[in-house]
Parts: sequence; structure tokens; C-alpha cells
Amino acid sequence: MSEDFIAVAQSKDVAGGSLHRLEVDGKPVILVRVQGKVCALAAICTHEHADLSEGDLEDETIWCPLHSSGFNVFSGEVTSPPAEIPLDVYDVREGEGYILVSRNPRARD
Amino acid sequence: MIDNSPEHVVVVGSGLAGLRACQALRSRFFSGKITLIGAEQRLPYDRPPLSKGFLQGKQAEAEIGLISEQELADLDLAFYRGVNASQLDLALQQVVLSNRENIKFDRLILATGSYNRRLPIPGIDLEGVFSLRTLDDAVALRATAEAAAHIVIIGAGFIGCEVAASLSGGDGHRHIDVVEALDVPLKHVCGPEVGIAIQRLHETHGVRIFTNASVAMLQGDGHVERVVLTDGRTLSADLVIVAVGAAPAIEWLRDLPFVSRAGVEVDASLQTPHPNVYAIGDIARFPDPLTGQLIRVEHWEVARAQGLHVAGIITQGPQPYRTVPYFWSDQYDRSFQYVGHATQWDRVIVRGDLDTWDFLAFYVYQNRLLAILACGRTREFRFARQLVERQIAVDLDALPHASVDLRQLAARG
Ligand SMILES: Cc1cc2nc3c(=O)[nH]c(=O)nc-3n(C[C@H](O)[C@H](O)[C@H](O)COP(=O)(O)OP(=O)(O)OC[C@H]3O[C@@H](n4cnc5c(N)ncnc54)[C@H](O)[C@@H]3O)c2cc1C
Ligand code: FES
Repeated sequence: MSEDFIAVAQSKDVAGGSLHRLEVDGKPVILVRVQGKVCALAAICTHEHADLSEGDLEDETIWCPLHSSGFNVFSGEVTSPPAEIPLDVYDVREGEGYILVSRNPRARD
Repeated sequence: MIDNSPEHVVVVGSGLAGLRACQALRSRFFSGKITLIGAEQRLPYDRPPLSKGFLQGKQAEAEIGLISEQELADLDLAFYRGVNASQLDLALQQVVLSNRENIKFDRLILATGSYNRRLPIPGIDLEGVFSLRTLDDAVALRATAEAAAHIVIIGAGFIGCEVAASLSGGDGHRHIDVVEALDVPLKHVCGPEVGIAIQRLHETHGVRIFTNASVAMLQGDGHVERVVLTDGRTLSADLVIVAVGAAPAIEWLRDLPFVSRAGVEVDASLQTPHPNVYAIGDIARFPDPLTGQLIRVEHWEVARAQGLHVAGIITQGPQPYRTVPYFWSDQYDRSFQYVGHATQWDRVIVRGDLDTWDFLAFYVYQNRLLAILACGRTREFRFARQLVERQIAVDLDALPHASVDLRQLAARG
């Protein structure tokens, strides 16, 4: 259902290694490009709500700037505490120079 | 699962450690009966926000729960809410409850946390005097603080400091004074250099800290009006918060041989000398993974991690708890992080700038790096903590130099 995706950025603007903050339907989301693939995740740490776009990206991990929680960019899973709850992950499509992000986070099992 | 897998696990204390133990038992497919006994009526909630976001009015009660009603129901617990365990009979393997019920167990997890120390001084029962441990405390304190003009906090430990920071926000119409018995706040945890930096952080925000000061009494007509110090000085107060530290909530266990005022003694597998009884979280006195010394840590991550760990022990057999302690504290726009557990040190090495609250402090004893406190500098802390957690040998003299890359030091280990 392509109508559930919205174009949020141009591919050329999302380089590897950095965190890009934007809003998808008013929700803060970060885009990262890791191993060539663009990932979109909720931008707010599930621990005490720090803005993860001020954190660090390292390999496959986003690190929170406040208390060092780590989250995997592909799954949103917590890789280091104190956070306990994974980040919402949004599906991403990339083509023809644009990045599209799903309006709703991926369901968890 | 091991052969002698228990049928009934009883957990006393429905705080962070106890609840996470129950959840981890189920996620490890423990299918026996679990009974959870909790003195508080409320569903388990998170304490750190009580002195931070919740007190600042940024977080609501619903946002600081540790579990939802549905998740709780899915755990299939026998949950006694608002019931105290009042006695432990090791011979019969049973817990006696305040409602006089006896509960037999195959395995028992003790997780009763801390209670706040009281100050036995005249006037302590006046209206307007609070302490902060439970959500009920925080609700009452938050409601009263809104209208308070002169707040006095007794004790400049982490909770006292956080409360000062949280209440100081806003329109600045209130005075906040903190009374501290030590000559430097938090000196016993962070050393004098860092303690002074923390004191200055508060003073910069208009909070006065009176050091070397003890409270003789509180005065007022029904409601507190003044705090009188032992040196005769008085501070106006319409709200007093007593934050003079905590002690393990183990009064009900005091007759047991492995229980003392220092806590409930356990081995590396969090087991007491009684093979079916474990202790976790704030009450547990366990071997420090770095030094082997028995330590007790009143911090969130230890409680959580030990809750998860003990479930693994019960379902799979003994395994040492090896996680090096960690905690954080948020004050104003600064966040402090600490890894390790230094009870004594002979050297504090500072990297960065104490004056701008942007530093790492390394605590060293006999040339061994025992702990690190970070203020800001989260990125560097991430690498530096590995030096402690993995006991990587480093040239200590190199640590203060900005040109030395902590990431590379950590990678060498
Ligand atoms: C205001 C505040 C702020 C904090 N901030 C931070 C922070 O920023 N960072 C950090 O690392 N840590 C912080 N902590 C510490 C952290 O919350 C604790 O270390 C953690 O909650 C300990 O978990 P626990 O399960 O051992 O004990 P608790 O969470 O205290 O739970 C114990 C439970 O057992 C119940 N209980 C006690 N006796 C009995 C009995 N006889 N029978 C039945 N139930 C009983 C108690 O009522 C309580 O509900 C803070 C604590 C407080 C109070
Ligand atoms: S807010 Fe992200 S780790 Fe605490």
C-alpha cells in the first residue's frame, strides 16, 4: 500500500554515518544509512525521552546521549540498558532518488 | 530446565527487581506457580522519575508504570498487593504474611528494596515535612511543592540533589536551600573535587547548599515554618524534604544469620547460605564482580539486572552475576553516569573540565581503575566504561590528555 508511505528526503541527503531527524505525520523519526540501507526509527529514547538525534551512530547501534542506552538500527531492539523497550521501526523504501517512510511503525511480534 | 525445577517461586517485594524476576521467569518458560508479595497497593512503577520528570510535572502516573494490567495478567501470578511479608521460616520454607497467611515456597526471592532513613529530631512530624520513596510520596510532594515558597531539603545525596534541581525550575519565585552534614556534597561517592563541582552546579541555579550543617529541629505551629541548624542559624521553610539516605528494608528478616544491617548476604549466584533463598536489588550484599568484596548498591540497573539474572539461576542453575554496577543521575540539564563501585580510592583523575560540568573522573585505588563518573561526555563515557568493565590495563597518566583517544584505549582490551 504505497499510500501508507511518504517521501521524506532525497537519497543524496542521507549519507552514511550520521543521524537525520525529521517528522513523519508529526512523529519524530530519525533516518540513518547503515551498510547502504536506510533505516527509520522513533527519535525519542524509550528510557527517559532523550532526543536520539543528538546521540551517536556507530556501526549498527544508535547510542542515547543521556544514559548510554544502545538500540539496533535494523530491529530497534535494546542492545544496552538502561532502556528496556525497543524503538519503533518504520519500513523504508528507497528509489528514484527519494526515501519513503511508512506512516506507521512496523508491528512487533 | 534443570531436573529439580521448582514448582512454586515466591517473590517478596513488587518493585523493579522483584517484578523483573517474575517476568524473566515467565520469558524463560517457567511454568510453575509464582507468588508475588508487595507491600504497596499500586501496580509496580518506576522510582527514578519520582525525583525528576514526575516531580517536574512532565510525566504522569500512567507514564511511569513498570507493567500494564494486561501484561500483569499474562504473567499469571498470585499477586498479593498491599500485603507485607512479616516473617520467614527457613525450616518450614514458608513466608508469613501480614494478613496471617502462610505461603510455602520451593524457591524464595527477597527483593524488598529500601526505606528512607528518618531524622529523629523535634518537629519532624509537622505538616509540610516530606520524604520521597514511593509514588504516593511523590504525588503528595508534587501537589504541595506547587505553592511552596521556601523549600529546605535535608541531605545533598543524589535524591536530595535531584529534588533540588527538579523543584528549582519554573518562575524562580521559590527559594531552595539544601542542608548537608558533610563539608562537600557527595564527597563519599565522588570525592571532593567532583562534589564541589556539583555544589557549584546547584549554586549556579540559585540553590543554596549549606555544608557542614546539621538540623537540630523543625519549628512551626502545626505546619513547618523554620529549620533550625545546630549552630543556631535558622532557615525559613514552608516545605521540608528529608533526604538523608536509605537503608535496606529487611527488618522482618533480622533474625536470620545471613542478614545484618549491611544487607542480605549472597554469593555470586545471588544465593543466600540457604540454597533455596535468593536476594536481589537494593537489599542484596553481593560480591563485587571486580574486587570480590561484598557490596550493596542502591541503584536501578543493578536491581533490574539482578532480577533478570536470578530467573536464569532458578531455571538453569547457578551462574555468577558479573555485571559491573552502573547508575545515572539527572540534575538540571546535566546527566551524571557512573560505572563501577569505588568504596575507597587514592587518586582521582579528571579528564575534561569540572568548571563547565563536562568531564570524566576516574577513581583509582592502588593503580587499579575502579570506577568512572561522567558528567556529560556520554560518548567518551561509553568507551571509558569498558576500561572498568573489562579491566583493561591503561597508562593512567594518559587519561587526562584530550589527545588520547579513549575509544582506542578501549579497543586495545
Ligand atoms: C526518588 C528516587 C529516585 C531514584 N533515582 C535513581 C536514578 O536516577 N538512578 C538510579 O540508578 N537509581 C535511582 N533510584 C534507585 C532505584 O529506584 C532503586 O535502586 C530500585 O528501585 C531498587 O529496586 P528494588 O526492587 O530493589 O527495590 P524497590 O524498587 O524499592 O522495591 C521494593 C518493594 O518491596 C516492598 N516491600 C518492602 N518490604 C516488604 C515486605 N516486608 N513485604 C512485602 N513487600 C515489601 C516495597 O514496598 C517496595 O515496593 C532512585 C530511587 C528513588 C526512591
Ligand atoms: S534517556 Fe536514553 S538512556 Fe536514558
